[in-house]
Amino acid sequence: MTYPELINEYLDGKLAGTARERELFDGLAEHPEWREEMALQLQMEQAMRRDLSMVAVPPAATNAIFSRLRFTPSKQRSGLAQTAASGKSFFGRSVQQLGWFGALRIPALALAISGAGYLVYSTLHTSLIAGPSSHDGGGFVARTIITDTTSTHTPTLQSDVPAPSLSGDVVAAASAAKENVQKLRVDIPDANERSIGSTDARSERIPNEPILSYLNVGNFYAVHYLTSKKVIGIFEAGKIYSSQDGGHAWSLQSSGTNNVLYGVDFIDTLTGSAVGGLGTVLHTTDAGRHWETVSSGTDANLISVHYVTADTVYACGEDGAILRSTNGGSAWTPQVSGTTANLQGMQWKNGAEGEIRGAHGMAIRTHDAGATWQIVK
Amino acid sequence: MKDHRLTDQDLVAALRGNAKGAERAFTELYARHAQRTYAFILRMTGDARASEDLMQEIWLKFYDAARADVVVTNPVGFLLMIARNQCLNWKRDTKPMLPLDGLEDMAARPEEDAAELTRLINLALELLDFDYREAFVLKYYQGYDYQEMSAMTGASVDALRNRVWRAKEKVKEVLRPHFEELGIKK
Repeated sequence: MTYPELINEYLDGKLAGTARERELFDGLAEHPEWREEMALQLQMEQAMRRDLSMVAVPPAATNAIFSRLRFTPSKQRSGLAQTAASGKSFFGRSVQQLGWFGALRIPALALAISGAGYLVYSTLHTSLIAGPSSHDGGGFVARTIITDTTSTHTPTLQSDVPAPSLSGDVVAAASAAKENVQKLRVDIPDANERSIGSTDARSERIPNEPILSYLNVGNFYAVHYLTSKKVIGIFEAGKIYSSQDGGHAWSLQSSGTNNVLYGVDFIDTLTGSAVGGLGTVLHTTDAGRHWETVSSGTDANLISVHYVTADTVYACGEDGAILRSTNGGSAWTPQVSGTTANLQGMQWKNGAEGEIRGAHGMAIRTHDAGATWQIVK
Repeated sequence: MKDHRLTDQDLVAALRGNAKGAERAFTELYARHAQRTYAFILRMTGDARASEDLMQEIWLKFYDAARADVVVTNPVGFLLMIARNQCLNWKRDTKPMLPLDGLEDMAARPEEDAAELTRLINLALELLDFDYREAFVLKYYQGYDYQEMSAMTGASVDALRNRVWRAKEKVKEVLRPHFEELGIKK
């Protein structure tokens, strides 16, 4: 055993009363390097203990946890939230993204856009919800099934459901406010490999309060309806899933990339593009059965893609990245955005006039098909 | 209900009760263990923003599990187990961000020795594989003994001892060029 190991074992309390303890003390008396080693190991331990005591929980995290649980802020909790670290509240970021759901197109389906920014498709017994599609906004898709209802009303998803997580596993949340709804079940796509729990959601019925269910559904970033039945969902690690039955069953498609995918859009039921991390751009012409990797000319993480016409497509992402395609997504050219902001979503009046929004409410606008951009917010 | 007189197990049981009681129990549990949970996440990830997000997930999962009648005999251990899994997921999905030459940059900005030592240790932690970092953090930051660590991680006591030792050696290796400026050597 080397002397650093001996010292380590002593500090672990393993040498007490043993011959090796004596050996250690003799060595410490005799060898300066042993004493230096002892001093080092002691200093390391002290530094770590001191470090632990100095770490404080960011108030934003505490507030988000309590908000998501619908717990009332308390003085005690406020006291906990002392920290030097600053952070944006999750809800601040979430609210920022809300407007962009209006720009998403889901043909052939009735679509309601909830106040909290969740896409909601509802029939009498089924609701499909998808969370923010921003790359750092988590995002989820989950199918909720309302059962045991005596009501003939269409169940609604509340606008104040807790927000999904920013990273890692995602908790999907859905609630049903109708008083006659007795139970709310949340099903997840069966392809969810990240789920660490079962597909059973916590369901509860508190008198006079909405039903609320949480479920880990993994990182689904966006969904796109090709028809009322055919759905494309993009997932973390480059996974693309498709459903032929409106989101009940999902099958994995070959994407050809392991990079995370954040945005997807189609111009019709066959032709579309998906974008994601490290400048990833994929293109399909067969409704997502096969995807071809297309050169984007950028390494920036791409967040959103949007078909303006069958030919003109734009993508945007981090570090002010804007890409334009004039052949339906087969080839892309980087544009000069004039900003390094993270660009998250876009709206286009036509191929020439459009607006792209970024973090913190910023926006840039073009009137010349992306040749020049002006910061408007 | 005088929450401070209740044990953690009592509070977990209260989480399964009515809404008001559950909220009070959760608030108390959070007051007791949030800092420890967050410190663990922060040192495991080395990423403040990710830690903030993971913190939310961990406490929501904890709450959901407790409400779903999952048997929780050791709430702190259970929290750290959830945290561990979340950190594993995070690590799996995150590319390392720390440039190796960053250590020199950090060390080039002298600060008070103790703070500098802490910072260098934390930087060194980021160079460790998950298992070694976890063992190191549980041992030195969280103060667990090897039996508790074994119950938490599923690894044997001997394996954990070995990991802690190797992690410590790795940290020392990173610190070694800075011994003099840290006042550790001569």
